[in-house]
Formats: sequence, structure tokens, C-alpha cells
Amino acid sequence: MSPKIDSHQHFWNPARGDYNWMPMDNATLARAYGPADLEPHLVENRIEQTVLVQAAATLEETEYLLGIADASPRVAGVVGWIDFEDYSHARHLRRLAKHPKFLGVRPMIQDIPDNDWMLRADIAWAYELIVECDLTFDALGFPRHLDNFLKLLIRYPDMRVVIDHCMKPQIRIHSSDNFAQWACGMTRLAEDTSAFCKFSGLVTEANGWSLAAMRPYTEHLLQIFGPERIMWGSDWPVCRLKASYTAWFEAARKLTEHLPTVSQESIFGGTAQAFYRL
Amino acid sequence: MTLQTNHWDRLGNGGLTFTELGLGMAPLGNLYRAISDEDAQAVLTRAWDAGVRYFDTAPLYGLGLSETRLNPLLRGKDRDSYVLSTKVGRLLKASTPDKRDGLDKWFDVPARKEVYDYTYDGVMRSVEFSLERLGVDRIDILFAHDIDLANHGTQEALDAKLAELMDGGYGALVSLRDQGVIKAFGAGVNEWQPCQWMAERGDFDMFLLAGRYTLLEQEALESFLPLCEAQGTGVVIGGPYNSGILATGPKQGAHYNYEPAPQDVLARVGEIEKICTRHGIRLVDAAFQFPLRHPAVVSVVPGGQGLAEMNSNIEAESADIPEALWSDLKSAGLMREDAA
Repeated sequence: MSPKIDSHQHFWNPARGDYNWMPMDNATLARAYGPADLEPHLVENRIEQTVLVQAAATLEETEYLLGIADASPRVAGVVGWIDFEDYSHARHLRRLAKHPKFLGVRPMIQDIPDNDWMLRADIAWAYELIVECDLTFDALGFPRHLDNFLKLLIRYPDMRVVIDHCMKPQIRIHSSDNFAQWACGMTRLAEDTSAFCKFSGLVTEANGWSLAAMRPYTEHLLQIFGPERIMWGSDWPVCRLKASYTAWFEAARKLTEHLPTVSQESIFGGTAQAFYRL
Repeated sequence: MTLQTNHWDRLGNGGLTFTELGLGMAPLGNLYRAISDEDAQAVLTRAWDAGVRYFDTAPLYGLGLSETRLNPLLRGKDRDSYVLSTKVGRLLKASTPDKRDGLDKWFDVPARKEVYDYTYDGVMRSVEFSLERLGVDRIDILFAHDIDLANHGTQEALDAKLAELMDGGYGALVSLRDQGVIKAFGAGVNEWQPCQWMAERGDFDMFLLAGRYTLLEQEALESFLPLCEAQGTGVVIGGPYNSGILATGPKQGAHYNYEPAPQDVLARVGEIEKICTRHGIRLVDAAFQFPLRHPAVVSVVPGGQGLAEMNSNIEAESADIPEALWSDLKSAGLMREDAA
């Protein structure tokens, strides 16, 4: 049996000063979160390992996360960041790739106003280098990015890609049109590319979340990706905006309890282990 | 398996035997999307096993990757059993990955820059590099690449390049042919006009014309193809599907000459497809076989990145097309009266 893995969590310290997205007046987000804050939740839910994901668009933050990972046996790996718009960062990526806990990168595409940024010719070197170094790419965006992600992933079929937070479907303004647009784009990604998907972020996208609201989204993902390409992630501490670590974990358990044990093991550990090679 | 062949011998030097179905190697240079080396080799192996014995590549395709990928296929094959063409007119220079050329065209390819060079030395050096990448000791045909308006922008710039070729590279090509290093040379372009200009001024053996003699475009019949026929010049047809639309049919998102197809083209292809269906054949069958009916055409070289496209081309080569199809297309005004 594979260990239980949380494929997506963050640590941060706002005093570091490079979390440009962070609303400083939000008491839940704008405080320091470190390994000691997460530990009780991991123990309570018997989660053995985590993947620590970047939360700031700086090299310094990636170094900071690797420092935490060095000191934290629970952290199996780090998804970091380099500046795709600055070719001098190629040497940083090559250097980072040598760290045993460095897994890959995540550009913060959801914060970039230009939807077509990811297809720009001047950043193509970064995708090529990710493939060359055999690293991973976390695809972070919204449903409006679905078409471009499809184009990008078709260009680079050898890139190891995982879609973050199910591409953030608009559960809080659920409509059949919104659902269809998201579902159709996700289906094409699942069928035409080898991308994986993180089963995370759904509580954050729901308003007063309920199992009923999240179930159709979950069912669609299970159908198109299958449990071998789906990995559960807490997105802690962001999930705390809507649900405690344990509340989201238990909701995710209930949403998948009808699956065979082996499928549940994939979603809660096996898939992340295979994808990130933990 | 055996495919139909055409023997071409303009000079009495033994000539070359082309399979009517050749393989255009631009897509296997990661054109518009990367494909893995395994997938590329699978397409090449399928082509070889089906009997394809003519391969057309270029240094430009994937900035060297296309030629490199052809290397393992050709290794160990009897050199006399296939025909190989590549291009001259561009040299590849090393670059850093962010500054390389073709960032929005070739994906996951070597970091190189392309530099136009139709001079004597440029041609000689280009051949040396191609031999190295291809891993063979000779090339059958060299085509001067992209010496056309689309690539050089203005008539003045094109005229300057044509002059550079005729004053320089042309001499290198003649010399290579005289020595028996190559069997033939010509130009590989997307426009028939510069081909005609060259055919009228030099001792060119063959032209590779991409996209300009197809079910949708037959202007080359005005003067260029008759000239080739009269001079014994061979013609290889690239882009027989005009970027896809003649293979996919008038579907949403179909491409015509590297762009999404406009409405009038979609409608015209729809009409052609209707007549094909009435005769029990596929649109792609007719699109593939159409250029081969012209006596100057020796081979058609579609490209493809997947086995499905390769298989479809193999099927098109052997499709049985009734003569009535062509006369029906003509009487419907969908094909020129003087087309073969």
C-alpha cells in the first residue's frame, strides 16, 4: 500500500514580503504557517507525506521552501518557481533540479492578466528545459485558460503536467453553461494529453460548500481522468477560508467512498507518488 | 508491400525511381507540436514497411531534428533502395534556447538560428552538415529552399536571393551533380513563379512545389507545369492537402495554407467531397492522387505526425478512383478543364 500523501500544501511567512497576491487584511491567510501548524492535521488524518508548493513568484521563496523541506521529513518534495520571462533563470532551474526534494515548477498563471501568456514564444525555452530536466509542471489557472492549456500540452507531450485545483471550476456560480464549458475543456485535456489532475481546491471555489455541490464535478473528473491520474491535495492553508484540513479531507473521502479500495489508495497517495516520483 | 513508382531520368545518368507516395518530413521536425522520438520512429517505420522509398527533409525542419530523426531509419538500409532529398539555402548556427529561431513554430527542438545562405560556400557547407545529421554518404536531390516571396518579403529581396543563388550556390549544385555526388537538384518552394524563373534560366532537374498544384489550386497549369513537361523537369508535390483541409474535409477548425480555412474554401471543399462520396471514395484519396495524374509529377509527399495520418495516406495511394470522378469535378466547375 502506498503512503497517504497530501499532494498540495503551502507554508508561508508574510513577513518575507513577496506574497503579492496575499490580502493583508485577511486574518486567515495573512499569518505565518509552518510545519508545526500542519503537523497535528497530518497526524489526525494519518497522512505521512506532503508536497510543498510555492506561493510567491520569486526564486528566494523556492530556496526558502527547500530549506524547510531539508528540515522536515514530512515534506517529500517541493514545487518551486522560476521566472519564465528571464532566460538567466535557466541556470537556476538546472541548479534547483539537483536538489533531491525539488520536483518541478509552477508559474502563477492565474495571476497573469494575459490569458495567452503561457503560449508566448519568448518563454518556450522554459518548457523545453522542464522536459530536458525531467521536472514537473503544475498548471494553475481558471476555466478561461482551458483552451490554451490544451494547446500548450499538445505542443509538449513529454512534459509531466498536473492540473492544479481541478482548474478551479466556478462552483459558487454553478450553471449548466459554466459546468459544460469546464467539463468539456477538462475532457479534452484528459483525452488528448497525459496530464494528471489534483483533487483539491473545490471547497475554496464553492460557496457554503456541500457534498452535493461538489459531487458532479468530482464524478466528471473520476470519469475522464480515472483514479490513477487524480491525486488528492489539501491546498492548506488556503482551504481554511472555507473548511478545516480535516473537514475537506473527510469530504473528499466521502466523495470517493463508492470507489474500490485500490482506487481510493491511488487518489490519496499512489497517484502523487507515481507522478512526482516520491 | 510495393507502391506505385515513377522513374525519372532527365539527364541519362540512370535517374531516380520515386514511390508515388513519399514522406514529407516537416511534421516530424516537431512542427506546431512536439512528438516523442518513439512516435516519430513509429511513423517512419510504418512508412518504410508500407513501401515508401522517397523521403524529403530539410535542415530547417525542427532546426536539424527532422534530418536527425531520419538517421536511425536509414541506418543499415541499402542506399540504393530509396531516394533522399534535402534542402540548401539555410545554415544553422548554435544559439541559446531563448534566442533560437522558430520558437512559435518548432517545439522542443535544438537551439539553433537559421541563416539564409544561397552562396557557393553556403551550399557546400550545408550539404556537409546534412550528411552528418542524416548519417548517409550521399544525397540524391538538393533543393534550394524557400527562395520565394513569402520567405523573403519583397520582390527586390527575392531577386537579390535569386541572384545570389545563380551567381553562387547554383555553381556548387552543378559541380556536385557533375561529380556524381548528387543525382539532381532544383528548388523547393511554396510558389510556382520563382520555379518558372529558375527553370527558364538554369539547368534545374526538379522542383518541389508545396501546396500549389492540388484539388484546390491549379494555377501552375498556366505555364509552369507545361514548361516542366516540355523540359523533362520532374515535379514533387508537397502539401497536397493545403495544410489539412483536403484530408480532414470542411470541418470546424480545418486549416487551409497554414491558417484556419475561410468560408468560401470550406464551401468549395464541401462540394468536392460530395462528388467524392458519390463515387464511393474519400476526399483524401482524390486529393492525394490528383497531382500524380500530371505527367511531370513524380511523387506526392504528404507529411504527418501520427500513424493515423500515415495509414490514411497509404490507403489513399492504393484507392481505386473511377475516371468519372475527374470528369464530374470538371463539369461541376471544381477542377480546371486542362488538368490531367
